[in-house]
Amino acid sequence: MREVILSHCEKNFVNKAIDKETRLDGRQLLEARPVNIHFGSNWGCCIVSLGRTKAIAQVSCDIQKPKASRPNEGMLHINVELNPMAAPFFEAGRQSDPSVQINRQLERCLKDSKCIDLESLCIVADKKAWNLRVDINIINHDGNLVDCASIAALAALMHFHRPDVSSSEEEIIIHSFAEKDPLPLTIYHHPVCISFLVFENGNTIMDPTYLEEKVGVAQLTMGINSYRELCSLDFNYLTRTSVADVIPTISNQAANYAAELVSLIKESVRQDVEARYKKEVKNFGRFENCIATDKLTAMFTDKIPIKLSSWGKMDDREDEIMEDQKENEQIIKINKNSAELLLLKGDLFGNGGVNTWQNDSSSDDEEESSDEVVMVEETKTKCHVLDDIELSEDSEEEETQNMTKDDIQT
Amino acid sequence: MEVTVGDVAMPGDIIKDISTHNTKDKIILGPGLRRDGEVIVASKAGVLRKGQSATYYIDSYQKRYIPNRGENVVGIVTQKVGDIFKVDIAASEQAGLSYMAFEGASKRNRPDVQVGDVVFAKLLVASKDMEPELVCVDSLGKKGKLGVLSSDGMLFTCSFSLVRKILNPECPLFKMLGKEQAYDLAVGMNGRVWIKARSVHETIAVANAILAAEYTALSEMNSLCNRIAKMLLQQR
Amino acid sequence: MLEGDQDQEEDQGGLRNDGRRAAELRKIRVRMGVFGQADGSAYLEQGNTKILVAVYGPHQPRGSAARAGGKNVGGIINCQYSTAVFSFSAGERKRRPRGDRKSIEKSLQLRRAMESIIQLDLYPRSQIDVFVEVLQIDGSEYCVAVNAATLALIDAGIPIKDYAIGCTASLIDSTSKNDEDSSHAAGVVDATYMEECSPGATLSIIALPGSSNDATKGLVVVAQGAGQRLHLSRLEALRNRALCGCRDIRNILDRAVRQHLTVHSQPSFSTLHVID
Repeated sequence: MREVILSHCEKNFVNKAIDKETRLDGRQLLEARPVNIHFGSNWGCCIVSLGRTKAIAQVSCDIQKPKASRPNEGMLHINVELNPMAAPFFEAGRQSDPSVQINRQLERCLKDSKCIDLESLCIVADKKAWNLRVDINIINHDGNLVDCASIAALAALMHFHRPDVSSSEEEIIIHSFAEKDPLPLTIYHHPVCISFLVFENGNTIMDPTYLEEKVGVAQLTMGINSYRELCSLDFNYLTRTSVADVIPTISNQAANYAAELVSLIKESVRQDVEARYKKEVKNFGRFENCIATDKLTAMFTDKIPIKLSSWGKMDDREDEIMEDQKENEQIIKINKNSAELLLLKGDLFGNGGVNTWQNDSSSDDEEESSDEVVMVEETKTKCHVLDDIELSEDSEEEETQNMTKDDIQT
Repeated sequence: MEVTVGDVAMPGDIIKDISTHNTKDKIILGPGLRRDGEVIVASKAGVLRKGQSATYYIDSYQKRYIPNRGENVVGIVTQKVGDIFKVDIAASEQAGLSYMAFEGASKRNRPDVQVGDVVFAKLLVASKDMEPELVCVDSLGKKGKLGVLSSDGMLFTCSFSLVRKILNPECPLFKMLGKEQAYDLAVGMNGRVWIKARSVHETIAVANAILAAEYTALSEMNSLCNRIAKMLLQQR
Repeated sequence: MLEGDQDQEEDQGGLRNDGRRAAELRKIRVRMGVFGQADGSAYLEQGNTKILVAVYGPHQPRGSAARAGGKNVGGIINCQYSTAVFSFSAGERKRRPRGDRKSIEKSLQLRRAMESIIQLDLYPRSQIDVFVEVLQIDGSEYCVAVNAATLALIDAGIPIKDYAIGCTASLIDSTSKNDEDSSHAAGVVDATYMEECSPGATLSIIALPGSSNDATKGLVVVAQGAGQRLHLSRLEALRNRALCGCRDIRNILDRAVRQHLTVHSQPSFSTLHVID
């Protein structure tokens, strides 16, 4: 099935938004989507979601004759599968251009950088060595497949344990997991791919979505490990354009994010592996965890691809507003038993301050039509502030409200 | 299992209400319902609804469009073939749109439509055996609200249940949003929505509100709009 | 150009294995218009890397490329990158000339590089074929292929924006820290096969050097890094080194093209040129 063509208005709008340094999903220009890693029941099996892009990776191993050119090393094969399940315009069972590109980028990032100790995978030199195979299946396409696939591949390799072998003269015994504990792979360093996209006006974004990928003019993928070392690099013009390459300007950002990402992957792998070592069946990953949600509205924000940057952070925002107000308010003691809550002058609406009126009225409205799930947090903070005010009498709060409004009106 | 109007029906459920009706009455079965001998069986998962008189249908969640005659859709022009434009309307097949189907179009005066433009059009022909055909004029030759949409706006997709929800005259969303922001809007029954507001931020805000409306009860639309308005204010 | 040559940290006196200095290119031999059938062709040698390119077009789209991009308004470019089975110098034979991932990737990147210079909007609904045959590999073969393709396009008379020039810069041993001030620290240009295989990193850059003298202003079209690890702080120097190489190659190719045109043009045309 052919890909739906990009309409003019989508293209114009994305370009306009990037001009104004906004993105449709409310992210900053150089902000990545949240990464989630869940492990399956086998060693070396994981599902990774990068926003709505999802990939499954599985590492498997068998014993083969090593290559003649490298007789004392094991082998590593990486295979990325793009099938119509991820997006209808991918063709099944054919080496398409995007799949070759992703494959090669991962090979350069993981294989050529020699991050895995292949020599330890040799059993008998020139005769027998472990052959590792990483299969990555993209199951949902929402842009930036390379990053998602590289995270999945790395997490799966770090999680993978191979069976122990013992060789005696001519014989090789492969021990089952019950006989001897399986062994993890030796990994020297942890490279991940970080992708960027450059737009016509020269602005660069990190972790592009599918729509953004269709609009952008040049793409950059860097394979970076946590020691700020570059393992692979790919910069390509997607359309005929003349934007300068952005490698020098964003490499720092890439390195910082890579370090963050690697520590996230390490942490989630460590937790799962430890749980398995201790045989805590409850704690270690099962794929069902990745769809189980703890809240009824958990899917709510996920399913909205276009949102304002403050959407979803609303609960925190409410707190912030309340705190702001607290700072601006001053308690003036008039009598012994009463206190007046006033807004500090100079910060008022119309003088460059926040439009507190708008905030007040709308938050009042919200309280009336109390939205159970979202607003619980908010009402709590409200009470909290009210507690502060309640220095003396209980009828105080209404008066305060009046005072502030009068104040604004004058 | 047997279900009645207002219940959630699963494929294979038997609809109790209808099968007990008198055979003299005329019953209209809408999408998702099927007659199997004496009984009426659901073939989609969703809420069973009853329309005017004895019209029944299942209100289900769906994302792939099946063209229906007379519906307004938002499509993307993908190709110019001779005298017709090919328009992608997210259905199984591309629809045809003749260049004569625009207001004031004649052999001399061709409408200015480019590949990649977004059009708001009405389905004139929609049958399962033929290519769907679109028009951008009504029977009097006037364009009304149909035609090419400006490329300053934004296009996004949503589910059909959301389209039906927001197009329902009882839904207060558009009126409430309109109090805060000015915007142009075209909602196609094929799940494509085109919006144009004054700024990028406002456009995103309106899109956000529309998408969030899918998970918001009608009574809570007010708070949703307030929330959006407040967020817009903060971002300024 | 090279001041760091004095320190004799190696027995070769700061020279590379083949006797070159760090920023020195290999010998370049150019022959344009080598085939009769093709609309444009070129043969390019950089050291022992030898590449033949044939260009056909613009012609009516056909084959798989037409089906994939038939609805494009502009023209389409079809690139085929194939490596001869006998091309390895070590006596190894390649199993298949094309169809493996590396070849497909290189075809793809070659297409990207060509798209960036050819003015495709001049040729709506037509196709330009670029066939690359690598005869012998001795490092930097992808970059040499791009250079040769550019020459073949010029020979075919297809209008291009600028020369697309490829050059590699290789850091031979990125792990050693002590040679910070030596000329090799910024990488060596136009790497040979041995230098590419060393445990360092290689950066291949396809750039449009433009006519300006400042090499670092060149517009990078495709950049690709491979090899082992490279600390980010050394990337910038390596990139500049490669861009300098691009400018040098451009000057050499430019001279070659001018010479080719003077020799092969009409007598009346060449008399005009004799003046300078």
